[in-house]
Amino acid sequence: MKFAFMFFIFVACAQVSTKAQERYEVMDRLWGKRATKAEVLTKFGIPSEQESQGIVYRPSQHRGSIVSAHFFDKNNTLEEQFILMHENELQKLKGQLKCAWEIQKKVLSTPHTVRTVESGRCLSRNISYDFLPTSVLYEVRWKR
Amino acid sequence: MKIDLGDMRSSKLVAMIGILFFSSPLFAVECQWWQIHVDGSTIPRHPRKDHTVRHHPRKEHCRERWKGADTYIKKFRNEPIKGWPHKEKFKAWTRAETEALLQILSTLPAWVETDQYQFFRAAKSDIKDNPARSELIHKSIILYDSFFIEKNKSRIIVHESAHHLYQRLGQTDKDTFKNLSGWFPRVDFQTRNVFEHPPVKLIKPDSSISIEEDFTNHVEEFFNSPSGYQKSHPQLHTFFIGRLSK
Repeated sequence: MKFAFMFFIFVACAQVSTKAQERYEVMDRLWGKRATKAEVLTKFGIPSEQESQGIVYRPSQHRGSIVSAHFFDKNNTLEEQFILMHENELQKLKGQLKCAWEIQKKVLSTPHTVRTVESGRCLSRNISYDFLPTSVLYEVRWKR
Repeated sequence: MKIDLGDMRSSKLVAMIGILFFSSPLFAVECQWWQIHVDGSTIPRHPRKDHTVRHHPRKEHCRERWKGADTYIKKFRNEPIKGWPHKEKFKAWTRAETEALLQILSTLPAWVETDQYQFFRAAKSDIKDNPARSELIHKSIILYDSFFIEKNKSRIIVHESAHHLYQRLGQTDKDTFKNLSGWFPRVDFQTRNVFEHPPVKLIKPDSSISIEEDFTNHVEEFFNSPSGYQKSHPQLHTFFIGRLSK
């Protein structure tokens, strides 16, 4: 019981300490070291949802949003993960995760809007990003 | 005739001569069609709250016929948008159409920020009966022929402006709107994809297209019927009051 309580405190503190670094930077490091599920939980804390080999994090103040999701193989090693972000954050991510990004731009139309969106990939690190038109957000995905 | 400039009556006379001279056709101020010519005159002495304004001449000048006209007139564009992806025919604004829009723009609240946008004119949308569209990169609003037969043109302008306003909302505000409106994303653990579930009760059917479209529909309703919107969506009404009515 004492151990469980201390583990809970440690995980809660870990959540606070990751704010100093952007979440995507932490996710990228976890990806690079082929982190286990336990290591992801240690970094990001208790998930909002957990099912089979996946976990989902939602911001505590906005349950109607998703921050990130992480999926594991049968050995509980990180196999795929994604984060949702707005365009200005995406540009920041591209600058900070050093990579030769292959970028494609396209025009996206709805009955009321015309906008230019981009998709891109970093082949050397298995990272890609795409625009989600319903969410009006970018999804950055790490996938082996 | 000697004029004693220290004398009050003489300075009045000089002012009147000046007004008459400079308001002659030689020096008349030329106004544009969206402006009203205001003759020069002498403003009589009159009291203000904490002081008295002395009589003084007012030069002739041009005044906007509609509020903001001097700013908005520069925003009307007659050429097509470069790289426009749709087979729609752009055209020049007519004087009547420009007047109609200037009149509408003069009535809109400051939070609509219509002075930020350019206005283009096109014949027919490739979407049936679509009155307007927004081009987000260059902050443009395109108005089609069908716009000019709409009864409530103001709400169409507000709707299109709201598309631009959404781009400038911060992440926290976007998330707050999403929550209050009732959007809920779910992750499918099989496909490992995220799906946005729209609100159970939509304010308009096309709100399900995207969170942004839902936002613009809500802003339109907030503008069109503030008291009705407050009753139907009290939390969102508070959200918009805090952000849009500044």
